[in-house]
Amino acid sequence: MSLRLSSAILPSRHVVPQAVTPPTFHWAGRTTLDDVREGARGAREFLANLGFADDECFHWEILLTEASNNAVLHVEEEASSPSKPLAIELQVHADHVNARIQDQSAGFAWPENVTLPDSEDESGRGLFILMELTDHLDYQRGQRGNSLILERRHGETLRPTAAESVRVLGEVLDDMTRELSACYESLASVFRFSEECREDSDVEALGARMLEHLTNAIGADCSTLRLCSDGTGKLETLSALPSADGDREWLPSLEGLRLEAKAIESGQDQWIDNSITRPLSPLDPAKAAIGIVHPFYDGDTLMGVVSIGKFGPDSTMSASDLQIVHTLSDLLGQKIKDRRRQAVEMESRVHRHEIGLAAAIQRSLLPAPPAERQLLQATGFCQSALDVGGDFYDLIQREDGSTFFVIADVMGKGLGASMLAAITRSVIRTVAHRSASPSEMLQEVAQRLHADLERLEMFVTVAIGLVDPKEKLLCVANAGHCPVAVHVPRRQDMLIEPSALPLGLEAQPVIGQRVISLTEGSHILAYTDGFLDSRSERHFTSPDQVLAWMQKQPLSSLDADGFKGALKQELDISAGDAADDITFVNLHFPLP
Amino acid sequence: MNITSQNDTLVIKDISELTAAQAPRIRKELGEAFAPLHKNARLHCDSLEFLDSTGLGVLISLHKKAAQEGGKLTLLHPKPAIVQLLELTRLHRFFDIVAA
Repeated sequence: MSLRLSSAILPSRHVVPQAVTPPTFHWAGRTTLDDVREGARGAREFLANLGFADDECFHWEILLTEASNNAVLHVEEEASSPSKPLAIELQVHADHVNARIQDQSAGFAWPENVTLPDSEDESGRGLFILMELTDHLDYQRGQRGNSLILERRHGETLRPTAAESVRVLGEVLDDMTRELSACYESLASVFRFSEECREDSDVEALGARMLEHLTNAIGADCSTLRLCSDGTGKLETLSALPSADGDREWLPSLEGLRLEAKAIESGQDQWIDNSITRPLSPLDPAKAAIGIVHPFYDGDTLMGVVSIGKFGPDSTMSASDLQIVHTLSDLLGQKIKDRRRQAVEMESRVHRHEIGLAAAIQRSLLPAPPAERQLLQATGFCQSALDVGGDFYDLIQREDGSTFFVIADVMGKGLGASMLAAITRSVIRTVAHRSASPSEMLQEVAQRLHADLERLEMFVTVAIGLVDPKEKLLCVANAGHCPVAVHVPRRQDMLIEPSALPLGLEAQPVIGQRVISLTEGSHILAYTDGFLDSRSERHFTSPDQVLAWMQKQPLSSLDADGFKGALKQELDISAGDAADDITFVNLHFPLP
Repeated sequence: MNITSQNDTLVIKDISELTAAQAPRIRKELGEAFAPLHKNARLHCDSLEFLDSTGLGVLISLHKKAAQEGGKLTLLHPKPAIVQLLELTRLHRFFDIVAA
């Protein structure tokens, strides 16, 4: 705790310095009944030294005692440690005295009406006394502290003697000189640090500068800045300044952690007093220290904790010292917040660019429709629910004039699914030219992909068909994929169901295939499960419904492009708000 | 604090401060001293320099104990500032005050 008589207070960033600062009394200590009495006694002595009459001094002593007792009462109610700070500041003006009592208790709701209790009641007179003995009273209850302002006009009892006035004036001028000097240092530190924060410095450098400014402005011997890691939320030491004698262990680590945890839990400053630091070196009083542990926030989010200490048995921390710690911490907190926002925006821009690139690559992997359209027409469509997805289709023409069509769906969505889709496509293309049939091709693809898919715990559904326009044959192998719909004129439409599990579930699957003879006018439709969405009116709910839709179309008059257009219209694909990836490939034997 | 007995009166002297800081201890000691034998209490206020609202509560408590026994609490020679506080809180009509 400290007892200080001075002529000025340091202006905060919100206060314009006065040309002549009135005589001011400062006291800071712990929020305990014994300590706050010391503060009230000190204030009385201060007023007595200025020549105030006994009863006026008594009134101020009781005002400050009652005000401080309330703070103690509410600290005790919240079962906190008594080490919370309480500060009293008393200013003597020409016609009145005002006082500001700042505490960090839970505070209380000031009653609308303060009345005197019955004579037999043993409590409830404190607020009444405060109201009766002041001309103006203002209580502000805050999350991080409370402030009570009392103002009382001088009574007729103010009678400073001429000699006393001269002595006090001399003290006042001396103190003003000292305080103005300190005031200049504080303001200069705030302005300089504010400028440094506007520059493009990194947070680590700014943290170190902040501690240097605190050292200069308030005479701190030692300080530590710990910041909350953006990723883990843990506090990590960013910067520390040793004491003048190089002692980096100014605050015992366990005590430091305890105070830090308490400051974060309560959201309030924690007081470092001699009881904590003195045991370090009981024979050396210079090791005694005083200081605070101050947590700073962005809204409710902890940004960091700054701990400041001064060595020496007579060290004090004034209200203005606390204020500059708060101001510089706020500036640093704002800078950190800006930096984090910029980093998130940059990351988001990079991510969007990468996704856009991936989508472009994925689109470029889709096949162009075959140029030769007299015997076989083929086209397809692929739309991802996100920018990229796990669906794809492919058309691979063989030298003998036949064509493999492929449709596949990797589980999941997004970038991971799209990467696996690209790998699957690559493997299929690799084995396509040496495979005699869809079943042989799909079995080899399954074997090659199995180890990777099993490790990733993913699977892929694939249907592969081979269309031979000369022999008018269709051969289909289906590994867990949606049924392939086939329309052959003058025959019943059919669905070719899967004959094996999706790729990735079996190391050596045996995959069957089905062969169907086709005629001119036949249509083949292979699609992914994005078609089948019972939640949407625009989608089919089952493969049978897909088949039913086909039967309603004038298929004899539709070529592959016409079929694709009708299907897109049915699905209202132009809306572009699919919940799942939608992909299909359709093939057609044109009529002669 | 000095506590003695004179017949049925508890005599209290040498209290310089009666505030929230000392109130629990003084309340306990006065309660214990008054309980068995006394009807009245008399507080010599010559040395009482300071009193707050919690201290007033201690005096009210002692007065009520005395009143239960058909007695009273008398405050002897309180200083002007103490009297002002008693007047401010209307307790000058509650206690028996003997001016200096």
